[in-house]
Amino acid sequence: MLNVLIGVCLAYVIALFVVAFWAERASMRGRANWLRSPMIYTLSLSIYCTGWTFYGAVGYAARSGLEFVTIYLGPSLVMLGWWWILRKLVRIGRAQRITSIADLISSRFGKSNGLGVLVTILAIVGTTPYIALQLQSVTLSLGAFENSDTLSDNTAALWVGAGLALFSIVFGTRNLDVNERHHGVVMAIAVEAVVKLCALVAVGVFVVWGVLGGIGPVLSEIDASKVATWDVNGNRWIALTFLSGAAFLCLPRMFQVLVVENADEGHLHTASWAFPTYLMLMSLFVIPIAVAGLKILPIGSNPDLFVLSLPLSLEQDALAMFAFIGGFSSATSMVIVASLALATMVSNHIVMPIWIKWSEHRVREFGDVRRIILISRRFAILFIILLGYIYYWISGGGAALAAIGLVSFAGVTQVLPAMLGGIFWRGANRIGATAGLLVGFSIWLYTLFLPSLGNVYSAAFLAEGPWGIWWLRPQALFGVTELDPLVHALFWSMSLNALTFLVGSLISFPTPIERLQGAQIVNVYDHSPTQRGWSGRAAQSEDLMIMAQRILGVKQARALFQAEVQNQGGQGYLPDPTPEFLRTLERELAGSVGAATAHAMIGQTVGGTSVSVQDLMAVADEAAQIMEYSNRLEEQSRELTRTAQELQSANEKLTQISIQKDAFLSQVSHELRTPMTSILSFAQILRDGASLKGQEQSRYASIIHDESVRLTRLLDDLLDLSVLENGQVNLNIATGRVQDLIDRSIATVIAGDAAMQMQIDCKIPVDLHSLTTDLDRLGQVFINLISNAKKYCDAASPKLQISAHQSGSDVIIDFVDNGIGIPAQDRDFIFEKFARVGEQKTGGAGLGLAICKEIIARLGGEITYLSGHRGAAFRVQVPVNFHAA
Amino acid sequence: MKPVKEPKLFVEPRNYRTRRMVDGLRVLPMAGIFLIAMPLFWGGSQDSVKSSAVMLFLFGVWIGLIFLNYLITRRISKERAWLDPINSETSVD
Repeated sequence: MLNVLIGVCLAYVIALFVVAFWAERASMRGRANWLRSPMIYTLSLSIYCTGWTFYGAVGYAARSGLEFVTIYLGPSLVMLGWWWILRKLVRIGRAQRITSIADLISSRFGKSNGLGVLVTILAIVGTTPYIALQLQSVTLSLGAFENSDTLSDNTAALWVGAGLALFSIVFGTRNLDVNERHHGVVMAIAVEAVVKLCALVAVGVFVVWGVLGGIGPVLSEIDASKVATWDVNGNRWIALTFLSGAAFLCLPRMFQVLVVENADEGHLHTASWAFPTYLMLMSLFVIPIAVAGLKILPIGSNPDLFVLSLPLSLEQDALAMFAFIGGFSSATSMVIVASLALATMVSNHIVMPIWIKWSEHRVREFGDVRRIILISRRFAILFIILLGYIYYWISGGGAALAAIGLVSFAGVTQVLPAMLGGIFWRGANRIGATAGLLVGFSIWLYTLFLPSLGNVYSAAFLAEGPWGIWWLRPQALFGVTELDPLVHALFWSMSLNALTFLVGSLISFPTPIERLQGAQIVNVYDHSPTQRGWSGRAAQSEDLMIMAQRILGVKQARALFQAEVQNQGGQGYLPDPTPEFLRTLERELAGSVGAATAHAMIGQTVGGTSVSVQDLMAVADEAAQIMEYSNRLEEQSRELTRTAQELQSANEKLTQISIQKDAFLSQVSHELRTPMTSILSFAQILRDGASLKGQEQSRYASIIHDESVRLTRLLDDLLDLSVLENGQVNLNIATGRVQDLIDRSIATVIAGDAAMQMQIDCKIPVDLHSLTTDLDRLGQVFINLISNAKKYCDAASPKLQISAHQSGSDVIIDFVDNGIGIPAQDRDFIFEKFARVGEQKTGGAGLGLAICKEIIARLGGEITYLSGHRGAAFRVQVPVNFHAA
Repeated sequence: MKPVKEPKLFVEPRNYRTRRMVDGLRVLPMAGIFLIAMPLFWGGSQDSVKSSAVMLFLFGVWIGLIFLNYLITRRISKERAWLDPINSETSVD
């Protein structure tokens, strides 16, 4: 019997090899389309149903009735709610080329390799007992056929393990697919999924219709059995449903088939109803088989083997054989995918980073990275399966192992908070995720894993806690004693894990790259195309090509580069290393070696010129400095422009003054010349003209005298101005009333010209302060202003208005006439020396106002031209009390 | 600068239908949790609740949920083109 069994097993395994090989071939020839159908995807998900669930579910049902169904209900709910989580996970997996659950966590939290390692270790610790469980289920089922010891359990387990390792290595690490998809493996698993479902359904149908006699009798049998009453622990019911649903998302092997091997998001649509259907069919006959086993088989038979022992006891050897193959399928498919998923994680997160660090300075000479990855994966597969075997061997395959399934679930579920937080909450960060994982994992180890091993804790330790600290009792943490140990551990590990994750994320600050990745992953539906950029300046396309060839393989790398060349519209083999291309390349590489490693490798090749966010920020700082500098320059330039304008206007003024000076010089020489000519000619006449009469003589002499006076006055003015300008003037300070001063000035002007027609209107308030200043000089100014008005006012009836008022410590006196005033363009110059407005017939030298200005300045006041009046208007402002400067 | 599109407040009826389907899909697992927990509240203190009854109920719920999900998902799959606007998860409804 055993030989037949082993023969059938071998035949089955060979058939699987053939199927896998054929699928690989088909996919290589590009005929893999139907291999990628939604049904194959759905069937590949069935690795959730392992040997433990295949055999164990019946045993579970025989012991505790309907509770087993939670293990299937949880995943069904997750699948039914695919729109919430799975859709997003699959989209992220495709967008970010996620290779494993460790890669997802590492990618999300800033491509942190530390987190990748942490999740990998957690996954190995959580999965190893599970692999041991599969080996146990195979050896147990073998034992059901043969009671003798011809084949020891350990040997059988070893052979099974070796066979599985061989299969995984052959089909899981044949090549390094950029998408991390394994057509052969998936196809074989799909076949196994069909086999195990058919096997279980076949046994179920046999039991229901062949043994118990139909649906009605089955229901009454259930009511008559020892599991007739619905007697479940509510806590466990809810907790187990949650646990199985969570584990469905977090188990490395489930993540592998759900997300990594997913070729099309549309497959999820089909799987969302097809996979729950599969699970429902898998559990449909569990209770009937359990009830039949309890009824028919002798008391004391192992309920875990009812699926096999029922047909055997009823002499249905073929059916038993089929059931055995079904169980074998369940166990092997789980081990294959689990070891593959774990090997990917180990090679991407542990081996590659170490290798990269180690060979940092000699990448070029070391050769094929691709080979390193494949070799490391092969060894990782061997290592993981060996670990499972060792665990099985040490634990002795007893009943303790049977309980490990849920313990293992609870372990891998610790990733759930970091995963869900990572894909839905942008605020989640690396510190929080790491802390949460560590806390959850430690509590799981302390409260569930170590107690499950059986003899790690002493009875006293369990009862009283470490060092007698009652609230640290492993199965009654913080005094919570009312919960079932599994629920207790799940409750504390998940809640403290989530809490630590939350608090850690809230109080710490993420690195820029984490924030970018967070935005990319949380907002994956927005298709934000920008990731971090690589600056391709220093990157040599050739180096990139060499590196890509090592990882992707020569053909694929060439195809990728060629496509990019065409994309860029260039010629030849090598595209320009644009940032977009580098990003594409990094994603492709990430598909093979994981995000963190790919990032490091590109960074190494490009010569560390990855434009990190820090770099960008430095650039931004620099830009801000440049902006500031340019602002300063602009300011300076504006100032210069202003100065230039001032200079220009000054220059214009100077030019004007120069022109006036020239004009004046000619005027002065004319003024000097005219009297000089008269003086000369009349002096000549007097010298030569002896015949002149006395009357004529005296007239000529008086002309000479007048002209000399005129000359003297001109020279006096010039001298006066010169003295004033040089500050050599002596002031004669006295006190007097403004009214008196004005009256005197008017009198003086009138005295000079008795025929003056101008009407002078004087409005001086009687209470105006007396002035203490040089009254003579001030009078000179007034005289000048009045006589100017007299000379230049061209109104028909000229009129001068003089008014005065006090303003603070100054007295202001205005002189306003009713003439046409001074043209605006000349107002700037009237106080300059030699300034003359227009070409006027009145022969002033143009020194009057200049002298006035100098005098008033000496007296500490100011004389200004008042614009806004109809005629010429001057304002004299002098302090009431003169203070020598 | 990309021109900022004025967000629409309403969508056309067909799209509207699809979105309501998606809403239904979202509710489905919650309804499932509720229904699966329901047997816990049966029977009260008496232990008269039969396993067979619970089993029939659970499998009935299971099949019902699967069937509903099948109907909705089939509808959504046909309308995949309509889904992209929903994917951006803006609040147009």
